[in-house]
Order: sequence, then C-alpha cells, then structure tokens
Amino acid sequence: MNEMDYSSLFDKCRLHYFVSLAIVVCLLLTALATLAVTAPSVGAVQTYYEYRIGVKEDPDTFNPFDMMAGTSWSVAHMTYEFLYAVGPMMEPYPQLAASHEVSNGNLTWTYHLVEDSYWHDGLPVTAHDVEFTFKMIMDYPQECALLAGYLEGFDEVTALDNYTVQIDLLRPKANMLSLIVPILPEHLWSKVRDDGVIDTVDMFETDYFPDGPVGSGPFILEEYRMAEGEIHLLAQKPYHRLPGIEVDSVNIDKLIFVIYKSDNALITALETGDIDVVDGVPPSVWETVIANPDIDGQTPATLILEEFGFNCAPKEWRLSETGGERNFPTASTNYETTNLTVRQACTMATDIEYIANEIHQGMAQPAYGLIPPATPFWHYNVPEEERWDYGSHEDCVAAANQMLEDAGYRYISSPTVRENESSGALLEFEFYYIRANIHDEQTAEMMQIWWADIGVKVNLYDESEGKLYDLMSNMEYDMFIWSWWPDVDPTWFLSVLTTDEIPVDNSDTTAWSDCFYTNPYYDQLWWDQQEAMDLYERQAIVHEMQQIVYRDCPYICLVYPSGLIGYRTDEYENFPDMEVLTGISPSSFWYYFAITPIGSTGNTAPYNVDMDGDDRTVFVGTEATFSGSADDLESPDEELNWTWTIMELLDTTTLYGQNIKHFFNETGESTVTLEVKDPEGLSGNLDSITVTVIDVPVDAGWIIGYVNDTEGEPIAGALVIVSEASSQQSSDEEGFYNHTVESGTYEIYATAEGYSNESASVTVVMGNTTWQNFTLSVTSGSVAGDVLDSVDTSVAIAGALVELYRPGDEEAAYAKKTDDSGSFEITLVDEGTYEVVVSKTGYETNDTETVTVVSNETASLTIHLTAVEEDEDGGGGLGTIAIVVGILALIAAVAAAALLLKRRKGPEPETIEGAPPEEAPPEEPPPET
Amino acid sequence: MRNFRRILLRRFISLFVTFLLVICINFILFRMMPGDPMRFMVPSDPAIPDEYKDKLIERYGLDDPLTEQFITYIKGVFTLDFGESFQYKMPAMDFIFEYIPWTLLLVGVASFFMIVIGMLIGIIAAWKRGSLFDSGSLAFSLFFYAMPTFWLAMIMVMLFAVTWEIFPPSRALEIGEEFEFTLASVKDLLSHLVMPVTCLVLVYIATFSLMMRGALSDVMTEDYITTARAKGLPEGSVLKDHAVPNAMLPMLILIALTIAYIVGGAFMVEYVFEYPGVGWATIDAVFEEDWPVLQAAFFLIAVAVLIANFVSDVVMLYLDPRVELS
Repeated sequence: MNEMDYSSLFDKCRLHYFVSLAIVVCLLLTALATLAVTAPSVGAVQTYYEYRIGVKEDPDTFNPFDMMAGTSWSVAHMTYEFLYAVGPMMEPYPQLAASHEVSNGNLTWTYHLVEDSYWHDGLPVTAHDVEFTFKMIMDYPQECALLAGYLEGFDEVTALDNYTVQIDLLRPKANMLSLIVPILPEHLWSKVRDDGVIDTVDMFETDYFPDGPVGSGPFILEEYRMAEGEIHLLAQKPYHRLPGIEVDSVNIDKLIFVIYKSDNALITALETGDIDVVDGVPPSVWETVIANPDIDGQTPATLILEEFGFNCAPKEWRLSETGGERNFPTASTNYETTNLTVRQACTMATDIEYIANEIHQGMAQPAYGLIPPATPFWHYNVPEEERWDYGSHEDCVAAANQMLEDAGYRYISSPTVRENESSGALLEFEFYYIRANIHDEQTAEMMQIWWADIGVKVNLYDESEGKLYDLMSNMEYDMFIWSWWPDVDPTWFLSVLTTDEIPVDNSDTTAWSDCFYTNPYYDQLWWDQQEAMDLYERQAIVHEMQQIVYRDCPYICLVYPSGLIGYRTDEYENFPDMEVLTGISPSSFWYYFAITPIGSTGNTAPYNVDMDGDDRTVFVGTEATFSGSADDLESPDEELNWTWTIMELLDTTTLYGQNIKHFFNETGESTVTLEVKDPEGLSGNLDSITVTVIDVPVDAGWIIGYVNDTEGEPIAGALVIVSEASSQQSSDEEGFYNHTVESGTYEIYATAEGYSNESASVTVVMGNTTWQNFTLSVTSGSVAGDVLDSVDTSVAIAGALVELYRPGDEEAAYAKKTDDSGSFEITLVDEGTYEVVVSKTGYETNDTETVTVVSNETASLTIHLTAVEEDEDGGGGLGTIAIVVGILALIAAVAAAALLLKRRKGPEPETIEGAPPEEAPPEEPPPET
Repeated sequence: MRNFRRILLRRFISLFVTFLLVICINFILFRMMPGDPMRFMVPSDPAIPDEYKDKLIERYGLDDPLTEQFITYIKGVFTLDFGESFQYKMPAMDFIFEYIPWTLLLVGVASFFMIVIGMLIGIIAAWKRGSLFDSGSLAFSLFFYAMPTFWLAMIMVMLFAVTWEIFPPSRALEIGEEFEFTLASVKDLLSHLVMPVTCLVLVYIATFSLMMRGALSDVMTEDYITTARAKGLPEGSVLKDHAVPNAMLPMLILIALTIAYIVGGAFMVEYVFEYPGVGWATIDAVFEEDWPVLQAAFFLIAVAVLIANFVSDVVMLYLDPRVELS
C-alpha cells in the first residue's frame, strides 16, 4: 500500500513534469516571438544615406588581377579610377585623365591627368602611379595576364611630370580610350610587386594595405562580409568633379551590395524595402513588381545577344580520317547546315518579331545585327531592304520554299522533309538548347513549327549548359541557341566569328568560335577595324562586318533582352533615364551622382520632358525648328535650362533654349536629344527623336507664315504639321514657321499647348512660297492661390504640393509646389473642372476642393492644411498582438490537453489486437483506510 | 567485455572502410559531371585573355592526369585541404567554415525543438492512443510533413513578412548589421531565426512524433508492460521506467543522424530564407561545378554522418545487449 501511494504521487509528478516541460517550451517560443516582433526599428530621422543594391552573384576576389565575377568588377569600377571610364552613353568618358592628345603618327598618346584626385588614404594620384601600373603589367605579363591584353602594343610609358603621362606605341591602337585597367597606388603596390604576389594578394591583407583596399574612385571599399553576403562601399567625399557633373561626390553616404541566391527572396526584399534596387528583375514577376506603388521600373537595352547558331564546319574538318589540320572524330555528319541557301531559308522562315514580342513578351528587342544596340555607335541595324523579311510570315515561308526548291532541295523520299537532290541528305537536324531556359525552349519549339513549313525537320534536345558546351566543342550538333555578352568595344565580339577562333580539336578551350564560320574577307576586315584610327572609318568597317554576318547567316540573331531594373521611389528620387543613358545602371557610379534622397534638397527634377512632334524628315540645307515642354514643381518654364544635342554623322551640336533652330547640312539619320535641368542642376528624363535628312526634291516649294493668338500676339513653340509630307516645324519667338515640301496640295495643322487646333488647306507650287497664317484661340486658364495653416491662417505653407486631377483620373494632370510665401500659380490649364489635392509632409492632405477653369481667366483658391501629430506605432501593432494572442492560445491548448490527460489519470484501454486484456484497472488505487 | 571490444573494433574497421569508399566516390562523382569547370570559371567575358585561362588551368591542376589529381585529393583529405575554390579563390574548407556558425545555429536550434516537441507529441499520442490528441497530432504532423519545404517557407514569407510584416523576410541579420552581444542585436538575430526554425520544426516534427509514437506503441504491447501493470505499478511509472526507455532505442539513431545533418545545413530553408548557412553558400558551387567546395562540403557531411552513426552504434551496443547478437 505504501509503495502504491508513493507511485501515485510520483505519477502525479511525472504528469506535472510533462505539462511543465510543454509549457516551458511554449513560453520559450512565445518569448522568442515577442522578442522578435519588437525587433529594432529604424529611426525616423535619417541623415546618413545608405543605399542597398540586391545582386545575385557573389564577388570572387577584389584583386584586380584575379577577378572575374561581375559583382567584383562593378565594385572595381566604383572604387578605382581609369584614365577614361565607361560613360553614361557607353562612350569613353574622361575620369583620371582630363584630356589627351595624339601625335607622332598616332604612335604617341599624351594624357593630362586631373590634379585633384586623391587615393583613399589621402595621398594625391600622380602620373607616376599611372606609369607604375602600366609598367608593372608590362613587366609581369604572366601575373597580370588578366589585364595584360589591354596593353598589347605598348612600347614605353613615361610620366613627363606629376600630371602628364606619355604612352609610346609600337603600332597604332584603336582602343586607347577604352583601357579597362584600374590605376593602382605605387606606394602600396610596389611592395606587392616586389614580393611577387601581384595576382594572389588579398586586398584586405593589412601587411600590404594597412588602411584596407585603396583606390581613387568615387567609392571606398570598406569591407566584404562574406558570411552575411554584403559588400560595403563608402562614398569618397569629396571626390573630384567629373566634366558635366555639378556635384563633387555621390549623393549617398554608403552603398551596400547585398547578395541573394533566390529570385524570390531578392524580389521580396525589394518589396519590403530591405533593398532599394534590383538590376535584373525576373521577367515573370516584372508586372507584379512595378505594380507596387513604391517601385518604378526601367527596361534599358542590355549588352546581350541571344543567338541561334548553325554548325558551319566544312566536311573535311569533321572527318577524322582526313587527318587534316582539325580533328573532330565525333562531329555531326549532317553537312547541310554548311549550305548557305539552307541557312538563309531557315533565317527567312524565322519570325524574330514574334520571338521578341510574344515569347519574351516585349521585354526584348528583335535583333538585326550582331552587336547589341546598347552600344549604339557600333550596332548595325540591318536596313529593311537587306533583311530576310518579305512581309508577312506566310510570304517569308513561300520565299524560303522557293529558294530551297531552286537550290535543289526537293521532297523525294519523305513528303514532309526536303532532301538534297544530289547527295540525298535530308534536311533533318539536331537542335540543342539550354535546359530550364523557358524562353529558349519556347523559341526552339516555335522554330520547329515554322521550319516544318519549309520542309526542314528539327529534333529538339534540352541539355545542361555543361553538356551543351561539350557537344559544341566536339562539333557534335547541327544547331543551338545560346547567348553572348559582348564587350563595350566591338573587337572581341567580332573576333568570335574569325577563323582564328576555330578550335583545332575538342581540347582547345581557348578558342571562342561556336559555329565554326570562316570567311577570309571577314577576317581581313577584323584586322582592318583594329587598326583604323578614324572612329567613323572604324564604325563603317564594324558595320560592314555585321552586314556580312547577317547575309551569311552563321547565326540567326534572335533578340536583345532588355534589362529589367526595379527601384524603390519612397526614399530616393531623380532616377536617371537609363533607357537612353545605357551606360548608367545601379552597378555604375553614375547612378549615384544622379539619385538624391527625398527631402535632402527639397527640390525635384523636371519631368514630362517632351520634344514637340515625332520623328521627322527634313531636307538637307534647310532650317529646322524644334521646341520642347517640361513640367517642374518648383520652377516655371523660363527658369529651366534647356539643352539640345544634335548628333549628326560627323558633327555634334549643342544648343540652348526652349525653342531652337538648326541647319542640317548632311544627309543621313541624326538624333536630337533634349535635356532639361532645373536651376539647381537636377536633370529630368531625356527625350529624343530621329531626324532623317534627305536631298531636296527638284519640285520643292515653301509654306511660311505666323502663328498668333486672337489678340495678335505671336505664339512661340506652336507645332505646325504637314502630315502627308511628314514635315513638322515649330514656330519661333516671333511665331514664324517655315516648311519646305514637294509641290502639291496639303492639309496643314497648327497646335500649341493651351490653344485650339487649327487647320488649313494649302497648295504649293514648285519654286514658290505660299503664305498661311494661323490664329489660335486660347482654350486654357490659370489656377493661382495660397496654401495656409488652418489654425493660424497668417502662416503660409511653403513647399506644399498642389495637384489638379481630372475627375476619375489616377494621375494628376497638373502639379506645382508653393513658393516661400505659400503661393502657387499653374498656367495653361485646359478648360474644365478639377479636383484639387494639396499635400505636405506633417499635414493632413486636403482633397475637398474643386476648381473650374475657364479659358483666359485665373481661378483663385485659398487652401488650408491641418498639421498632424505623428503616430508613433505603425501598422505592425495589430500583427504583434495577433501573434502573441495566437501563441498564448497555443500554450493554453497544450496545457489544457496535458491537464485533461492528468485528470483521467491513466491509459486508455489498449486498442491493439492481441494485446493482453487489462486485468485490473491500476489507475484507481483503493482509498487508504 | 572482451566481446564488446571486439565488436567495437569491427565497427571501427567498417567505419574506416566506409570512410575510404566515401572519399573515393566524393572524388569520382564530381568529375563525372558533364561540362568543364573552366567554362564556368571563365565566363564569356571578352576581357579575359587566353594567357589568364592557361594560368588558371595550371593553378587548379585541371590538366593534370586524373591519377595525379586523385593523389593530390587524397593527400588533401587527410590535411583537410581540398584546394582552392574555383569561384571564390580561397581554400574550400575556409570557405565552408565561414558559413558553419550560421548553419549550426539554425539547424541546431531547429533540431532541438523538433526533437523535444516531436518526442513529447509522440509519447503522449502513443500513451493516449485513439484519443483526440492522438488523431489531432497525427493529422497535424502529417499535414506539415506532406508539405514541400520550400513551399511552406514561401507561404510563411508571404504571410508573415510581406502581408503582416511581423518577421523579416530573409537573411540572418538586418542588412548592414553585425552580431554583437547587445539586446538589440540578439533581438535582431532571433527575429530572423523564428521563421526558418519554425519552418524546419513544422516539416520535420512528424519524423520524430510518428517514430516515437510507433516505437512506444510497439513497446506498450510487450509482455513486460503487461507485467508491470499487473504488478500494480502506476501508469506514469510504467511509462517512465518500462516503456519509454525501450522505445528510445530506435529513436537514438534518428537523433544521431539528425545531429549529423546539422553540419550539412538545410538547403531548401536556407535558400528560401537566404539564411547564410553552408547549404546557401554551396548552392552556386553545384551550378558552377566548383569541385573543391563541393568536395569539402560533402566530405564534412559524410564524416559527420559516419561519426554520428558510429557513436549511436556504440551507445546502442552499450544500452542494448541484444545488439551484439546480430
């Protein structure tokens, strides 16, 4: 009995033990959770500006002689200086060198360095550092193999004085302004060189770099936290001024590269604001990402070509028994891809517009040329008349069929697959693409369908990248889809298709050719372009090479994928227009000279920058007028700086003012770009149009006249359009316009912002001038007023944003900020009724007012704003309570379950069959007597 | 006791043979992967000249004959030197060790919770077979067990990080922060730990609860339990002294292996939550054929599993005399 008693007590203890353990565990979890939810929050006032860029590639090393990872190179471009950097338009841009001159028959290059560049440890950067860097690379070609190629053809490098360096060449060299060689500090690297550790030294090794990595670029490499996956860069303040940049350092204090492995986490981090920008948003989530009100996106052209390739290796290379120069015993034995007609017919039947628009859903451009348009100077956009494009897809297929038929490819043994009449070889090919690349897969499937229509059968294989690479180095394929990432300079990419790049056998890993195309004339042109000193001569050769590739079809250039850059707009503003300035991206330092933290200046950049009219045609030797418009919240149009850049083939002209005139003296295509800056130097989006300059027709006549308002005052910047002649001209300050057109009868329109549209019919006779004046009536009014504090109406509120919305619209039609006296005036407002929304941080937004605008009148408004008290607790409070309540409930449940068990004080009857029956219920000890 | 030693020796020899076999496979496996690591090391970047590529081939011994590579590898295994990572240009073992602390923290904490909670649920469920708790906990653990880890993780991120903003969506610490022994830093660490740990615990809890429940249910039908009950022992004592210790034997090996796998990290969870553990760090190594890193990681996991297995064998041997017979 005693023992029984003791056990019973113990039994209770055991139960308690279980229950308490469960509760302890749950409490622990609760504590963890509550601790977590009250995690530190970022302080409200931010004066230290940190920017975070999410990337998907780890850096490999920061040693400039041993790094290949893109992230490492992005860091290098930010932390080191180059004589000439890659500029906003991918052009050579003076960085450490302020200028240069060439002499001695293009064999001597003299660079004049800026005199206010400093190493990150404080010493000045001099010509001796440049001399040291280049000489080290020349003297240690083995250790510096990664960069030695840029210095090929160098004879001697001499520092003439502290800020002048002279380079003597053995032969003329075209890429002297694109030397991607970071200039290194002699005072630190001479020890590295002497110890023979140039390509192995760790940049954080304090024996060599006591103050950490030292460069002279706009950023300082502070640290690399490997386990956390973060690279920290500090802004170098001050950095010397670069030409065309108004500030002397980047607009942020710190930049962190944050490394992510999964796309999902990367995008989530952007959406939750953990990071500020992602360069390379996956296309599948693009729409969702930019639908976020705090995220904007841009889709600039990238330096990527996605291409389809044919195996062009001639028969004799593929046969092992020929014992020729090249040896590929397992090469594909279908030689029909070496036939030009077959390749051309296949190209014809491939609808690359479809691939770009449907398969890539518009996030890619169709490719007509080898070099991507991200480097517009080298890109050759094959003209329409040279394209393998005969209108609709059906027409193309018919033409391709005819071509194959003519070349002797008929349906003989198979009703669906053509064969070579003479050799009997079928047009049936093995087509490889990289597994798990959804775009490549869909493209390959479409090509299979298209080519079936021309009697070409392809068998599709998806392979891993490694396997495909093996197949290619053995010539064991007929066709493939892959992509290239060319250099800014075209030399290397063009070399891929030269005969020298064809491997000798499958162990040759240094050769780049993947389609084994060979053409002696192309090879010759490749050498020629390298030695062409004149930029335009070189451009012409580079264009011709691309033309040859397009004609000979070793590749079918498919698409140039767009880069998808998503960035948060809640903390920074003034993002550069990366679709025009293709050299700017979040991984280049230019980006950080452009963006500004919101509120740091209280000033916003101009927006809605727009050139009046569209792409147009003008006659050579005639004067063209252009006008532009832009909105700015702080400044009226007159205070904005309007800069026009007119790029003709041989000449670049810069003009200023809202309305400009220019004579076009050469035929060809020119680009006109408008940039608008506000008085503080902030620049808005760029706008550009293409002007096609053609010869004056023999039967030309002129239409001239004035555009005035009903009061007789001239209207400047009115657009006068002769649409049938695709001629567009703007009126000048006197309201005068001038059109040159072929003789005939035209409908002519005049239009100006805030005025009515008018049209007239004009007949032009050859050699004669026809007058046509326009009188436009005003259709707009103004809205003016003051914004005041609702409590103390004598207090004017400066910097409040006044927006006018058309009823039902999501975006404001007009906007302006109040000036220092709280007043605003919005001009050229179209007639109608608008909802007025006035907002300013620290005040409740007022959206109760409406205003009716009548033409030629000014509507007056006085709006009151009420100050708000900051709400300390954000939205997280409710969630916190919910989770705590949830966990408490869980604990209660567990405790209840345990207690329930304890109440019952014993086991359920055994339910397993064959279990011995309970003989006596032990759970009820007899009461003690 | 002599017998025990002999068995121990036999186990040890078999451990060593397995170890040798594993390191051989570790070598062969990666060289059988299609493709050429050079291809990944040197991206299609025009700026990289042939001289540099030759230098890399030389540096990593990629053109050495396989036998020579094997000898270098075996030598390396015994000095824990697996060579330099192709991708990160640093010794592979050092690379792995950078991430080990985070993995130990994440998987260690998760393992603790899954073992404790899992076993508790298992014991109660077996003891109260057929009760509401039994069927409820069974349904609960199977529900999460059947769920793909990455999917559950993504749903958690979506709900708790994006929608409700209770926990940070990814990483081990706030961006830009470093761990220090301050309250704020510990909070930061814990808030990042909650979701991945909960995810791991939810998914793997079934392994322990079901195993424990099964083992204990079996034991409950044994004659000695009936005997114990017949003796009039109270139920708690039956459970504590007779049932649970016997049911613990199969659990032992499971626990040992779980602890061993801590080293390997939790690929899926680390990937989705961007937790900087060994799994997270080695994901790229797989795609880029970074042999040294892969060999080092697989070696560590293999060694940990072998040792855990050996230890659990020995403990088993010590606890359960019947094992000797087999």
